Amino acid sequence: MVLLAVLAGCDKPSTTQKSANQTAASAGEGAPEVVVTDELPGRPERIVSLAPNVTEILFALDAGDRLVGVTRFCDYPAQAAEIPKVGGIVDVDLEAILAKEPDLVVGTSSGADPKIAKKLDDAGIPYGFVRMDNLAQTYRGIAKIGELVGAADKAEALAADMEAKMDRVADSARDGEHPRVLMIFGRNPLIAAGPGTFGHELVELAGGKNVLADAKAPYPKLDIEKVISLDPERIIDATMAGEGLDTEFWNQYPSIDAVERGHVYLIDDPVVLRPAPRLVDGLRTIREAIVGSASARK
Amino acid sequence: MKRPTTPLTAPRLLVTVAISAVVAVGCGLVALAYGSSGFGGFEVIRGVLTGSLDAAQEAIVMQARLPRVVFAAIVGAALATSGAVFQTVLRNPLADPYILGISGGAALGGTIFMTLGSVAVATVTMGVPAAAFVGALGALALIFAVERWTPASRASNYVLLLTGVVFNAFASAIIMFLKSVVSAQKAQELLFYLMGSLAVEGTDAATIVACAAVVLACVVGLIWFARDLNALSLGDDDAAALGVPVTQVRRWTVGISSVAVAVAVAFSGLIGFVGLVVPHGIRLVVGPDHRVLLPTCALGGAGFLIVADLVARSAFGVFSSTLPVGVVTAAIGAPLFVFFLWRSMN
Repeated sequence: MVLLAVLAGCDKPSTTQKSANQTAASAGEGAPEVVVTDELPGRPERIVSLAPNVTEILFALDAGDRLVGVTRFCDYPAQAAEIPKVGGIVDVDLEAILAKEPDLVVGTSSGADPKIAKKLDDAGIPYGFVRMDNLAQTYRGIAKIGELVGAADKAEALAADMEAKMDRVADSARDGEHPRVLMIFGRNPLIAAGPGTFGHELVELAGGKNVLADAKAPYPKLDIEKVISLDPERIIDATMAGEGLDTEFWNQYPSIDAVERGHVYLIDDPVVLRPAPRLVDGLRTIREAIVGSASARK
Repeated sequence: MKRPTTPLTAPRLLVTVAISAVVAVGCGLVALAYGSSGFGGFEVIRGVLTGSLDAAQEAIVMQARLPRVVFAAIVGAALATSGAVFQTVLRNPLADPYILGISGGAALGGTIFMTLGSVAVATVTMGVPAAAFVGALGALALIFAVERWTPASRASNYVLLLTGVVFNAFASAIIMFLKSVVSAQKAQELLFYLMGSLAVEGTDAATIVACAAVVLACVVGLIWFARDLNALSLGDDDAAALGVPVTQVRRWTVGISSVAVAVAVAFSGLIGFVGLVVPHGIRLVVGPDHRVLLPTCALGGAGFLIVADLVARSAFGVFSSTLPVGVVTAAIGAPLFVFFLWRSMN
């Protein structure tokens, strides 16, 4: 559930930055975008990260060396793997957090254990949970995390730089062809990017038209019949490694336009969909696939 | 099951089986004509008959729908026939491949393989079923061990059922453990596998044919024992008095049924209630004589699962998601289960 947990949720770009005190951080519609404690350290020295994208952001802010605990899904950058683990995303081990004696816990509210904020309150540990369910929230979230760890200026710059880079790719994609794209997260079952997911947002920004833009579910499960009838011109297969990264699966269905014309692209690094600065790389990869660049093909 | 059997004549047998065959084939044709895409109905029939399908339509019928319909038929036949046999042999109306632990064993085998994981797609498509098969045989071995160890008495059937229930609990504990330690993607895959799905994309025709052959052989083998099963349903003592080697018949029929279930579950995961509901429904219509019950169950199970899978596939329009067929069979099966339970108590 990592990817789904991190990306799940509804995505009404909210323009106001709400702040709630001492309320449980819960995922879902209408949940506050930022939940922080009253008392925050100016420059925390012992930070626990409760999400892989938060860990990436902290490293990008040069705060990685202050991390004393991360989740078992935090695998980037490489140094993150050496930091002690405090559990998963939805199964955080409170005792492991307490043992690290952190002066700040940072997480994303979507997918997080809704009780963890309450538990941290009881333990008197300052925390900040930041929702990053879409791009707009991601830029704001990076800035907020910067504030929390005492690197506000750096974070502002990082977010602005990321936004500029994303916009540049999006601008270059505005004109020209807009092929119909199917983005796949898993083959067994076939799970695809529907509206309201990062995959959808990136595909559309990169100049594609998501064939599932009208789906009712954010992560619809398809059968192969549905894929054949949607007849996408590009298939971006972000199935995580381990299921076999080859196009043999798709080659069985040559009637699909993308398969027939050799436009199936495999992305073996699904963390490009994590709301963190590396999303820029993800967008570029998807853009290359949509352009039909041979370098994106595998 | 002690009511007197209606005399079975060759014409009656032929007519009953022919009618069920027509119904099953009818279900198959309907399921070929509809699916998750808009393409369907008479268009399909006309297209197939006149050969005027375009590449995409042909792919939908031949590569998306046909394998699923065939697989649903195989799995449905295996589960329903085995269910009927288990109910007779264990003399318990609630017995089915699930409760005996055979499905649980297969699920455990498949889950362990998926967890330990292999990298190549080809290994996964063959390896999971193979591991599931081993798991089912493991559960079967356990059942036989318990049977051998239990002194022959009326209670021995309950011991078998209890062993199945306990083994299932054990298997699901291990499965839950594995689910909690694997990656998110794997957990999702496992969940789908455990919910039962006839999504057989990537399974080649040879495998499907092989499964069909094994299941067909099992069904024929069970029909071979039909007379003995009839005797067995009168009670062990009566059967023995009629000269039926009770222990051997029981061992053979449970063994053959389990092989059929293992093949089915290996590829489709856990699909519940088919082995329970279909035999009861069929028995109400054709009576308890196994010579007619077993072939009708095979055809009825095939038809039932084909239709359930059609519902699962067509659900995309409503939920924007294809349902696992296990969800559909459980939704139909659970209320029927309660009904049969209520009936058996009255």
